[in-house]
Amino acid sequence: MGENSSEGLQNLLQQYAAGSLNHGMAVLVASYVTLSSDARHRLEELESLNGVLLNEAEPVAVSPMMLEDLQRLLDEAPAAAEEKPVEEINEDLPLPLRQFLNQPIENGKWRFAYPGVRQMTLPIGDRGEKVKLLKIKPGKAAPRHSHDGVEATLVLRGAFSDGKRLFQRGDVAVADHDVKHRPRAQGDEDCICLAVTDGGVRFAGSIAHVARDFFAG
Amino acid sequence: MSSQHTRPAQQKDQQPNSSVSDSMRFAFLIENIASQKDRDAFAELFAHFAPRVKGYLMRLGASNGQAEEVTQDAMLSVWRKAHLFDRKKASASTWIFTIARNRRIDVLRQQKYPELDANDPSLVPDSPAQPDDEVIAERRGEMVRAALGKLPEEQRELVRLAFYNGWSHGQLAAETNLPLGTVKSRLRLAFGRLRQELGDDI
Repeated sequence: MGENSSEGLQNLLQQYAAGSLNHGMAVLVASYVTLSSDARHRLEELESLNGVLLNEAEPVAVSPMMLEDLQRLLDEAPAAAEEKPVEEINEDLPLPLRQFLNQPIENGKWRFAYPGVRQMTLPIGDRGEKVKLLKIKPGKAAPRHSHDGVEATLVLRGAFSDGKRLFQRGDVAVADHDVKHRPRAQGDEDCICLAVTDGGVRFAGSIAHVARDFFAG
Repeated sequence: MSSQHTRPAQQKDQQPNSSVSDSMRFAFLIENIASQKDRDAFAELFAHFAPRVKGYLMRLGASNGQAEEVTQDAMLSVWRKAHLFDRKKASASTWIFTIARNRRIDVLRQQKYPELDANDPSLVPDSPAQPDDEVIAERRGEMVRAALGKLPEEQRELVRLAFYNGWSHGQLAAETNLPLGTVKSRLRLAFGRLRQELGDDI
């Protein structure tokens, strides 16, 4: 996906480091850095830049009571941390995502999206972003669409190609409104991805064009 | 920075660069909290970081009251999570930054910030550590600081807004009244210089 993609990825990591992403995108990035040591390393660099900026930041005096209050709190045991049992299902999926799934994804509510493509919407999102899992049959492609916002797609199982590049487990494709892409599953297993979209998705081209994609699968 | 503790970190105070020994000192304080619940170490960390954390939160638009609440919360997390600090992975200020960032989101959005879990079986491990990795982690902050200091002010401010405030290119352009292309090219320049200094894929 060329420059657009690396710039898009850089933006995502940078905004995750700063804490300014919406919840759905943050889940995607936390999953991404679980599956990619390279991305994790880049994130650590960005966080260390923020550490330096914090250290150089203009200090603002805190209430003189704060330290006293804290000194009293130090001995208190923290409220029993709700240890979420780590689900032993879907173990190949990254934990930041896995905690939203309460059954093996094979048994989830997959709905028809497109010929050869099923989707499962996940209850994640706090600012209108759409978060879903896509399952694309070998050789099939998700619809061609363009985006008003940004769409990021993390490969969890299998692989897809956007016509220029192969994306495998742990790879993220980022598309913005300039990109018309149509991820097509490669290899002989289903490709399962986590897709997060900011803003609305509109189909590219005429209705006829959309219909042709639809029937061609 | 006065205290009656033995200070291994001080033996290295002869180093020409004081911020390196500051950074080592802060790491040492966090480790002391972890190993012996050292309250003086906590007070010293608090004196340096609490006002900076508060400044960070207010820069991001928190009111004085919210900033106080989240700062107190974050500093309490520093005490409680000290055992998770690993100076090989992050400097003290980076570690405290991530705590403040996460607490800000937890408190203000009432939502847990999604984070990777080091014990996640699906975690793809790092390639085997290079012999100088530790040194790099220890000095990384200093290198970043030096590299930032060499940027012209206009680029440095954009870097602050992009990285610290987490603004997208579009937001940067809208807020600074600069054309999008100018924002992108200035950031690319700044980034190129940082990368040159750090010799890394930042």
